[in-house]
Amino acid sequence: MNPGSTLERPQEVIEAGPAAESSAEKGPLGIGATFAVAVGIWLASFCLDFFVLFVVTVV
Amino acid sequence: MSLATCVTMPASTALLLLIVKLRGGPSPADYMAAVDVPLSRILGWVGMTLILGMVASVVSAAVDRPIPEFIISVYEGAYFYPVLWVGLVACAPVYEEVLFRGFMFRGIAASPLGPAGAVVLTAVVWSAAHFQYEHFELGMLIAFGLVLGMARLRTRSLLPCIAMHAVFNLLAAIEAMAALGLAGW
Repeated sequence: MNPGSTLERPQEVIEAGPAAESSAEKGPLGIGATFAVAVGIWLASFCLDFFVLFVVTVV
Repeated sequence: MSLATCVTMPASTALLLLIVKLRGGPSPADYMAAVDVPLSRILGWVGMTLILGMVASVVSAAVDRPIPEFIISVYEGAYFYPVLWVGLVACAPVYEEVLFRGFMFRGIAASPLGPAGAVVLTAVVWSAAHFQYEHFELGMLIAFGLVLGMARLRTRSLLPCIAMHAVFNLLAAIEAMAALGLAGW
């Protein structure tokens, strides 16, 4: 079967056009980006933790 | 601290879901594998968590392990215990499972490390994130992290992991309250 053939794609994706097709085919983030985002979220939660603690205890 | 947990963790969970949504591609729910699982399967994994929790308690008692300093400081600093429990049993499990067994698991499983690598790596990183505990507790967290990863892998869903994590934290909270003599709050 020819890669990229319309036979391999869901009908709703074919009907919705190229934008929906590229969105549907987008896979998960790579391992590096996954770790980068996870560390960023973890650090952001720490910063927010300290901010809330500051507000609660000092203000 | 419990109040901060109740504010921070939902906000961080929302931020992560927003990042996934803004990126395009699968919806945040699909990306995190928040899909329905039969209740009987969830209960089966929760039962395994209860067994693991009991084993952890027996081992802790056998080696005469004291309550971690961090736990004591959390309870001593809590103004209102119900807020602490909501943080422990609801906010923390949802946030950590979405981040580790949802977001990270998906990214690692799609890499050359594969699903088995995702189970091991998320368990190790999740355990390491609990740096406030000592080696004994970290070892137990790695064991529980592996069981959580297996649940995520076998059921292809995040929901059993959240339920298991909530039950595990509930058991730990009850145990700590009993040990600290706070049952009559």
